[in-house]
Amino acid sequence: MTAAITATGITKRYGPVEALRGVDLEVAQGEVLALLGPNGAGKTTFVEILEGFRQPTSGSASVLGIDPATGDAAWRARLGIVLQSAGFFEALTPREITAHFASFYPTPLDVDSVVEMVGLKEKRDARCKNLSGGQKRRVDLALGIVGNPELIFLDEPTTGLDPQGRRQIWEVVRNFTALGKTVLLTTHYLDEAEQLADRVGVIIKGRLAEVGTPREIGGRQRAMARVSFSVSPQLQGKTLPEGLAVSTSGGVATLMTAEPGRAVVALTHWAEAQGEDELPGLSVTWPSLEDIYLQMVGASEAEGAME
Amino acid sequence: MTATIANPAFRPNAPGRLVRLSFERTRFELQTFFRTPEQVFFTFLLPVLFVLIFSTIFSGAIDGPPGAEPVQFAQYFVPGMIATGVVSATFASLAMTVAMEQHEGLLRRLSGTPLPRSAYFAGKVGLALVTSFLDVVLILYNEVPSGLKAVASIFPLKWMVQGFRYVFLPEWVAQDDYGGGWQVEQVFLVLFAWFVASFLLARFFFRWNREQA
Ligand SMILES: Nc1ncnc2c1ncn2[C@@H]1O[C@H](COP(=O)(O)OP(=O)(O)O)[C@@H](O)[C@H]1O
Ligand SMILES: [Mg+2]
Repeated sequence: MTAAITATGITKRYGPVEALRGVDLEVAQGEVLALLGPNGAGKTTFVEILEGFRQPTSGSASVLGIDPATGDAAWRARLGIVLQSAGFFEALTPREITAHFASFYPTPLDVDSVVEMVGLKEKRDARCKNLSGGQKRRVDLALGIVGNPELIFLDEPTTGLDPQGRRQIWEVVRNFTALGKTVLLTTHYLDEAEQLADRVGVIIKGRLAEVGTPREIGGRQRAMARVSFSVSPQLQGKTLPEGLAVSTSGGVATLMTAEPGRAVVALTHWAEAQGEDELPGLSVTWPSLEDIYLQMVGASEAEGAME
Repeated sequence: MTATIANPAFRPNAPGRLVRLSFERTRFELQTFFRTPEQVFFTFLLPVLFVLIFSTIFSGAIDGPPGAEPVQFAQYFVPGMIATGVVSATFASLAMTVAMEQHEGLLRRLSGTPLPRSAYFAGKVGLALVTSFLDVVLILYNEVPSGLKAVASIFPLKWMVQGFRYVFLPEWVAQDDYGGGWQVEQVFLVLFAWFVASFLLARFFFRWNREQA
C-alpha cells in the first residue's frame, strides 16, 4: 500500500526559533492520523509544509506522490484544507461560498448535502458575518470537503466549539473516512484523537515524541497498571505477599504492576489470611492517554527548564 | 481501500475551464461588491455627488473661438469626473481589495484550492469593468442638472469655494459670479453651521463597530 503522506527529516526555523527539529512521519492511504501537541509545538508549521504553504528549512515531503512545494492545481484538486484560521467572505452565505468553491473542482460533492452534513442547514442562507465562531468553523469544514478530496488536512478543526459542535464535526470526519479517505488532523484534545484517529502522533517542541495507536501510545508507562486498596485496621502493619511492594499514603496502599490480575489474586488471598474476606476499596486503573500525554509534556517542560 | 489515482480527465488549465472560472469569479466578486455598502458608496455615489455639486457651483461657460459653441463648465468637468470614477473603481478598489483579501487570509484560503491565479485576476478585472461602466453611465445620466443651484448651496463645498475665492481672486469676479459682494459673513455662518451640525451628528451616530449601528 502506498503512503498518502511521507515526511522525512523535516526541520523548520523561524530566525532563532526551531519550530520543527526533524520530523519523520508516514500516513497510509485511508488512515486517520491525529497530531497531538500543546500550543506552539509545531503542528501548524508541519501541516502547512505538507499543504505547500510553507517551505521546510530542510527535509523532504511527499503528499499524494508529489512534493508539496511543486504541487499544481491538479494536485490541489485532490486535497482538502481546513486552515487553523483564515479570513471569511463575510458578505456571502454558507451556501453561496460552498457552491463557489465547488466550482473549482472537477468532481465536487453536492453543495446542499455538504452544507447539511456540516450542520448548517438552518444557517445556509445567513450572511457569514452573522454566524457564530462554531458555525464559521463548519463553513471551513464544508469548504474543505466540497471538492471531494482524497486527503484532508484539518488544523484544530474543533478548537473553540461547544461539545455538540465537536461531535458533529467528528461525525463528518467519520463519514468522510468511511469512504476510504485519508485525514491528517491536529488537535490538543485527547478525546478527539482517541475518538477519530487510527494513530496518534505526539508532537512536542518540534519533535515527534511518539507515534502509535491510541492504545500503544506511552508504551512502557502504559503497560503499568495502578492497583490500590484501603488499609483497614486488620491489614495495618501486616507483611505483604512475596514480590509485592506498596507505597501507602492517606490510608491507601498503591502498587504499580505490569500484571495487575496476578497482583489482585495474591492480595485477595493475603487479605483473607489476615481476616478480611474482601479487599476494601480495591481498584485497578490503567493510565489514560491523557495521563501519558501530560507526563510527556511535563517531562519535556522539565527538560526545557534545564536547557 | 481506494487506490489513489489522479483524475486523468482533469486539465486545470483547459481554456474552457479558465473562461468558466473567470466568469464565476466575476459573478462572485460582483455579489460580494454589491453587498458591501462602503465599496458601493465610494465607487458610485461619491463621483456622482461630485459631478452634481461641481456642475452646480461652477456655472458659466468657456468661450471658444468665434462661431464655436461655448463649453459649459459643467460639461467640462464631466470627463474628469468619469476618469476619477473609473480610476477609483479600478486601480483603487482593485489594489485595496487584493491587499485586504491578503490581510484577512482570504487569498490563503483560495490558494489552497485548484482555482487558477489567472481566473482570480480575471474576476478582479471583470468586477472593475462592470463597476466602471456603471460609474460612467451614472455620471452621464446625472450630467448638468440645471436649477440645482439651490440644492448645491446647502452643501459646504460651495461656501468653501466662495471663501477661498474671496481670498485669492479680485473683486470683479464676485460681481460676475455672485452678483455683488463675496458674502463673507454668510460664508462664515454656513460653514460654522455645518461644523456644529456635523459634529453633533457624528457624536450621535458614531459607533466603534458596525454591528451596533
Ligand atoms: N510565521 C512564523 N514566524 C515566526 N515564528 C513562527 C511562525 N509560525 C510559527 N512560529 C513559531 O513556531 C513555533 C510553532 O508554531 P506552530 O506551528 O504554530 O505551533 P502549533 O500549531 O503546534 O501551536 C511557535 O514557537 C511559533 O511561535
Ligand atoms: Mg497551530
